[in-house]
Amino acid sequence: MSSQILQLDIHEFCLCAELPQAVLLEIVEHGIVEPCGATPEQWRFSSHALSVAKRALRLQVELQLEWSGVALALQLLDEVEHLRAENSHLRRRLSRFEQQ
Amino acid sequence: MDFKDYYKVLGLEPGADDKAVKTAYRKLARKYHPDVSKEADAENKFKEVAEAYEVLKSAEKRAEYDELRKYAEQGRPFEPPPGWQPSGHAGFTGGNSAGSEYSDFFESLFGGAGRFQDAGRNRVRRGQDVEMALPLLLEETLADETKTIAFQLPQYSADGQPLPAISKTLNVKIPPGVSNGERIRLKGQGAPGVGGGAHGDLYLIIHFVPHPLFDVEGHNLVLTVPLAPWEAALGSQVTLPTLSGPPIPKQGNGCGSKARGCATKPASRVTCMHCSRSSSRLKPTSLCVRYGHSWPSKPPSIRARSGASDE
Repeated sequence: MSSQILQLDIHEFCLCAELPQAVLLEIVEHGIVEPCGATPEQWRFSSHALSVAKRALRLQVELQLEWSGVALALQLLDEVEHLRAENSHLRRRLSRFEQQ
Repeated sequence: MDFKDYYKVLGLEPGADDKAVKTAYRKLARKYHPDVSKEADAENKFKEVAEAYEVLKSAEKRAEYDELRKYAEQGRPFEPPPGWQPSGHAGFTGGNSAGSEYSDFFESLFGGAGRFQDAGRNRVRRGQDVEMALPLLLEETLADETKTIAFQLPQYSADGQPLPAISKTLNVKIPPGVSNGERIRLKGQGAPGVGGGAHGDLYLIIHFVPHPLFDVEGHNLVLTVPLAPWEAALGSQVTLPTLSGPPIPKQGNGCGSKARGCATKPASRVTCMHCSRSSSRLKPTSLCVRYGHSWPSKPPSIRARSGASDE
């Protein structure tokens, strides 16, 4: 996948996501984004992580949530999205039989 | 310009205390936040709620607003009283937030200056990243595909004032084998920076348009072939369409060894929905054929005798 080609280090990531490093450390600590690499200097982030971090930041500021709440919300939102996709997939498959 | 009743937006009485304001905002923000809500027009509703909270949470702004509220008459276009000076209290608190654009009403009261907390210091700011969905037909994922995309980029002056959006058109090469939901980054194609800052990036998010025949599961294509029970029992010849190239004829049988026989072809997988047996010979990017039993809308003229299963 071409999205795997893009990798950002901690400085680029903070610049693109417009967040201070201290906040990024907290986001990573809560498992909201999971970079490759052991130490912060070695961390590499995907572009998907970038969108997750931006979304997390919006939720944290605008819904006034704790980071643990943000992590939970994101996890549940992912699950909802997954279930919606699965639901529409199954509906489509069902409709293939009903059309006959 | 209409007078905005911020109390009404938050569902509050004008005398509500700070705690009630906060509670009302949190409740509505959860309901309408564009990252959470699937409600129609959620983004605009959220902006309205965020703007109302921006005013009512600060004692200073709230006092100014309450003062003006006395002048406002319901049902008449609102004009700030003569001599009214925007106070410039319009603090920008949300960073890159969805609630960052205020209405004309808000700006006439509190001014648009100070949109960014660091405005006026001529700080260099990187341009905003822009995301857009790119619908793609399955056929378009087979080879290099060039798509023309048109989009609008938000633009701000050095002091944070919004400028007319820039319209842009790009020819983008989509690499073969992209997957649904994949994000393609076009570096430097986002909104222009402020004060000489770098351009933001443009992200294209691939959305497969549902295909009339094929489903996508991971990297596999799945074709569902409904079979009548007698076709499943006796075997029949079906012609399978393919995404690229001519249709292929196949001898299929819903259950049992014949169906599994099809699956021994290296690039195919047959699953019977009835008995859930499937071949394990699954290769990446293979065409999977799924046979399922379906009853035709017209029953056959000779019907199976009821109670036949007892015999």
